[in-house]
Amino acid sequence: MKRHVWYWGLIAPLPLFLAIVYLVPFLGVVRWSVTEPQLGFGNYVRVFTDPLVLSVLWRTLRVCVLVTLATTIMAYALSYIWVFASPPIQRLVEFGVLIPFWISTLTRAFGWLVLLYNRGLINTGLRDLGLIDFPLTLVRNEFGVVVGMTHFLVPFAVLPLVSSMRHLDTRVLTAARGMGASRFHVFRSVLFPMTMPGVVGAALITLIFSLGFFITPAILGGGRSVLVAEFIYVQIFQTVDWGIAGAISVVLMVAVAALIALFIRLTRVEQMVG
Amino acid sequence: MNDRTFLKARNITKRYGKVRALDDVSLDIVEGEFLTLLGPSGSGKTTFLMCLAGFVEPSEGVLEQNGRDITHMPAEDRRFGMVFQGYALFPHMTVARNVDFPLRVVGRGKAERERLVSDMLRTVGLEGLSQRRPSELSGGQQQRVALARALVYEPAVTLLDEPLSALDKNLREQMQDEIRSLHRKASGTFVFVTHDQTEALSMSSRVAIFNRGRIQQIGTPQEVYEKPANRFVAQFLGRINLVPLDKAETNGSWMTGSFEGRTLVSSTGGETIEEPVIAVRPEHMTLDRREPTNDMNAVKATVIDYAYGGAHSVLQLRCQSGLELSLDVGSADTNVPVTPGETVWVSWPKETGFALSAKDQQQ
Ligand SMILES: Nc1ncnc2c1ncn2[C@@H]1O[C@H](COP(=O)(O)OP(=O)(O)OP(=O)(O)O)[C@@H](O)[C@H]1O
Ligand SMILES: [Mg+2]
Repeated sequence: MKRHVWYWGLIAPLPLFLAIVYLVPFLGVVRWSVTEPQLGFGNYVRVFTDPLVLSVLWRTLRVCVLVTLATTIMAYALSYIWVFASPPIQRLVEFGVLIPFWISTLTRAFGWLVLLYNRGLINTGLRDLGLIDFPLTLVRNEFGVVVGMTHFLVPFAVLPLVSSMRHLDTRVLTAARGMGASRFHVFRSVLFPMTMPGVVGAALITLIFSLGFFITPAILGGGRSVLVAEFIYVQIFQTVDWGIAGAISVVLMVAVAALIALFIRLTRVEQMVG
Repeated sequence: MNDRTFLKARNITKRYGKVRALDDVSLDIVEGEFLTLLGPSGSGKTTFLMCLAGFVEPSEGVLEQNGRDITHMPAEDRRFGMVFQGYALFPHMTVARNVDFPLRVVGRGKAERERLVSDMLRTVGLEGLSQRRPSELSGGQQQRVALARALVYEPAVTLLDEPLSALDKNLREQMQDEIRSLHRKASGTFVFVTHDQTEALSMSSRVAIFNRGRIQQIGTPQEVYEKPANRFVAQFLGRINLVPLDKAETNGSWMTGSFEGRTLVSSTGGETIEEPVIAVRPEHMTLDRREPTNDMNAVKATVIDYAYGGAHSVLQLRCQSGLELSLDVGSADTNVPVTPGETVWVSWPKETGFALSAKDQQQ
């Protein structure tokens, strides 16, 4: 009994801290959404009818789905190499995947800016080679945002994929080859279905993370392709429309919570089946 | 046995760095036979099987199928049936889909595939379980799925890598019978790997004994058990007593020498043997209280231990020179003294012993 008190005494500060810094402010946001400028659900009606808000939500969804697709495909290829290639190449990939974790979001976004800008490395390079006359618009648009976000998220998607490939019994792949299956056939009907849980996990993690992205789209979108997080920021600090900002935040929060619930549920089922 | 050599391995060597997993292995596999590769762990059995299947490329040597060189042919073109250690079933497919896989790969028609799969599942006794996943099956049932998948497309040869090692004793014996009957029904060629000598002797038409990447002997179970080529084979196939001979002389197919002052005789291949010993299986030796008067080989020994083992019990004895002997005696045999400390005579017919060299390699 006494020991229980001890445990709780030690653990209690953490939930308390989380409640104070997350839950209380979030409740404040919820309150804005139904009280600013007046009591009622007017802000929520606006979220789903106001063309400007809707266009931001659609763009966010479009960008995030594109990012999720690109990230998952790239992460799959990287994970495959990480798990099945020869040791020196494995180490190289491992290095390449883990290094980005140590570099700040801001640095990475500016790095892409340097590469993609009108007078950036890619455009000047292509012009010097005589391949283009006018610079390609690679940044300050959705393309730049997708590139930057994908680059940021690939390492996060690699981890669940690598784990699902590591747990695979490679004799199963050998067996399929021995029965005459081509490499592509082995991939399509054995490797891919068997790593499906990892694919779903990687895609959901990417989607959940990408929905709340702020710095990368703000820098690479250059104010032209505003995603939902930046839009909320603008509503709070520039147009000072706290009511709509609160309502969008709540909608975003619910969407992310639903995705997380789905994720937990799928991983549980996976544990039960596998 | 007929002489239709189907697969011919010539001087196959496989090196992993400095390790020689296979060292100059030559072996003919005859069509329709049940060949077992037997040997201790790490002796190269799996490596040899993988060379046959095409998953491992030999460092040296040639592999021929019906006279055609297939040394460098990839596994997916050979399409030999394979049952892996641990089965390697596709966990995300049903039993029926697993068995269907090799047929689908070659694009057989749907109706034909369905017929072949259901016939095969009936043969292995799984017709009721076709819609289950491998994880919903017992070990023995998974084993049968693996067999069905390996046999359904009637491959030229079926390779089985320790398919029974994960099963308990009863199921194991039942599956041994089933594999043999499948071999008869499928009338194909089976190459079976095991490190269990009883299994090898009871199932095979021929046994190849591996040690340290080399083939020690190939022959029928009876040949390798009763006339082992060397000390390793003799000891690997079961308990054996080795009685050292002094002043040995070879005369045709018989060798004569002395042990503790007694003259002993054994059969021999005729060649001179360094440090000869007579090898005798425990079940060929008999016990007597008095010195035998017939012309059997006989030595004197003291009982040191008796281990009851159901139908047959094992008796440990020690000779004057310190040599220990092990004997099988029927438990119903009442004339056997089982009191440790008693002195007895051990004898065996001359033709059941065979001369080996004590210097032969040994694990
Ligand atoms: N891929 C590999 N790389 C390095 N060494 C290997 C490799 N595969 C096998 N060996 C070595 O080759 C030798 C033979 O191995 P192999 O797997 O053929 O033995 P085995 O007879 O099948 O043994 P077991 O009964 O334990 O399965 C062993 O010494 C093993 O360590
Ligand atoms: Mg093996």
